[in-house]
Amino acid sequence: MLTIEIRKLALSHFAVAFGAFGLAALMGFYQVLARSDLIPALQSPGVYFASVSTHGVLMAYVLTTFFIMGFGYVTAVSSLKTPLWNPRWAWIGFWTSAVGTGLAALPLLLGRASVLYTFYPPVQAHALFYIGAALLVVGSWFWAVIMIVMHGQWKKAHPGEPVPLPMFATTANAILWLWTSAGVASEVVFQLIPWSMGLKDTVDPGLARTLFAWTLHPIVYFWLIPAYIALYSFVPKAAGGKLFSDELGRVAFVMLLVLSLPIGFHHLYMDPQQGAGFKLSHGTLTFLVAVPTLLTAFTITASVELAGRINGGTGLFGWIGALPWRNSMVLAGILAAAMLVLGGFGGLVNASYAMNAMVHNTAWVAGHFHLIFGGTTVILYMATTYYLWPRLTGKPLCSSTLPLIQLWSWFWGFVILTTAWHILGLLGQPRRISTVTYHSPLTFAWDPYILTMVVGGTVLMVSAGLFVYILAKSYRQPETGPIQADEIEYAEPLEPVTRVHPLLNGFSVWNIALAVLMLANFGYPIAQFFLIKTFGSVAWGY
Amino acid sequence: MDIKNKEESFDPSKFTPVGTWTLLCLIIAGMAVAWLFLYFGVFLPRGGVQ
Repeated sequence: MLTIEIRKLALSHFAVAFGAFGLAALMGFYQVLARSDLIPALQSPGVYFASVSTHGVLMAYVLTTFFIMGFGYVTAVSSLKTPLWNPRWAWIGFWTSAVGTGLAALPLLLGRASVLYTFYPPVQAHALFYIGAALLVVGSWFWAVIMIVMHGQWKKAHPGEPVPLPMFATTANAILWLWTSAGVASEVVFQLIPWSMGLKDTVDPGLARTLFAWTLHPIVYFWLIPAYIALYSFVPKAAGGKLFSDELGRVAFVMLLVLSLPIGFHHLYMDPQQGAGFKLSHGTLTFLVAVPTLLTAFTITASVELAGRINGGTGLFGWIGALPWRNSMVLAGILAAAMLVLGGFGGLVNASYAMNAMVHNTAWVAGHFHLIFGGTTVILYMATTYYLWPRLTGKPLCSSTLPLIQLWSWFWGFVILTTAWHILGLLGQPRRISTVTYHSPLTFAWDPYILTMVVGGTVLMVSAGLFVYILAKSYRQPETGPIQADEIEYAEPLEPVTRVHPLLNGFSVWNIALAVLMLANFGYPIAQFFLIKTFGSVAWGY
Repeated sequence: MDIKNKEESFDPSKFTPVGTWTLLCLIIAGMAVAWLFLYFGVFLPRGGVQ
């Protein structure tokens, strides 16, 4: 049941998530203007890097973590049809994360934590930033434990029955997050906080980057899994059909859990502190993790094809035109899939051991992750919010057309922005620069794409503003009465699922498999820092 | 027309996702061609680090 308490809990999480989103979108717009050099008065490396660090932290950690927690609570109570286990813990988690966000925001906004969202040492931030980031993560662990406990309690109360797919996926994500965040938590607690507080003179950047690599790739799947939940649970129903296969969804989520963790070294291909063999192993597993995404692409496309044919579509592709394109969830699903194809291709290039050298540390990389995260993931967060907002607030959306305009503009904004970045990357423009001298012959070829980037950024700023406006205006509508949990409708599978294999209904075996894979792929690469003599670095800047 | 009525004119139990297979094959083929183009057409011609 979506009780008043659950609605308040979810809305509190969404308020922080989308407040952070609005602020971060403004900063993103400033950054494209600053990088373009169109307005010389905006030039300030100090402000730029404070802005880009805040933008990254707000988008990648605050928007995601709070949205995922809020959505998780709603999914748990509505799919399991049970009360929330331990609401007090949920609020403690919320406030821990919120206080952590506030603490981290202070040095970020004051320019004392301009270490970007990866905070790679030896660039050093104020200790408050690391403490705040750690608290944000600790708060999310309360959520993860609640999801796992609710999953276990439901299974105990319903022996032999399959856990509803949305909750199965949410639990997979909670377990994934506990595994994922252990890497960065270790880095922050044992290296960065003592170092930034002056308790240690130096830091080992090799170890820090290795621990961050533990987190850096699976965190993308932590962000992406809720978007996949929307694809599996909402899109088929909204399109007028059914989920093609419940079991394929379970296989995909299990594969995402097991395969997304031991692959982080594809971010370290150019780093000297890890051996080529381990990099190759991580690179190979990186290509394997494309499999669950392909499974998802197949299952969801088949589901909407079924819907299109039920709606009267005929021929090989006639079902596409028969889909309800004016439904925001369906539209977002289609646009997200289109961006996933484009961004996924960029990811294959990044993961290619040799070819990675061509795009390493260029604007291509920023183009890739903005397309996957800002594009594919966030557009489904938006559509999910449009779906949940009336059910949480008890008030209808202020318009049925504005969300469609907003979703289309979000899509085109990202296509324009990231196409320019991919090309700029191939033309050699580095990432993480505040500006360049655009009057050099070397950079003349960049000019048209710089202007394209500004156009894309402007469209995105308008779209982000429209999203926040729609939610705020809808919230001010008159209430239409309490809305029951039953009104959150999940897609039914084409073939009713009465029993599933235990491996597709729980995670005990998969945790063991994951532990073995992590030991094999991260055991020695971390242990080497304690077995051989390494040298630390003093802090840079700040 | 709700799903049940629509299903009377189309039997989902006989559904084969032929459009999905075709679409995904086209996309995967396109990605493979684009990857090969980047590898052989852009990456290799740039040569080694000077």
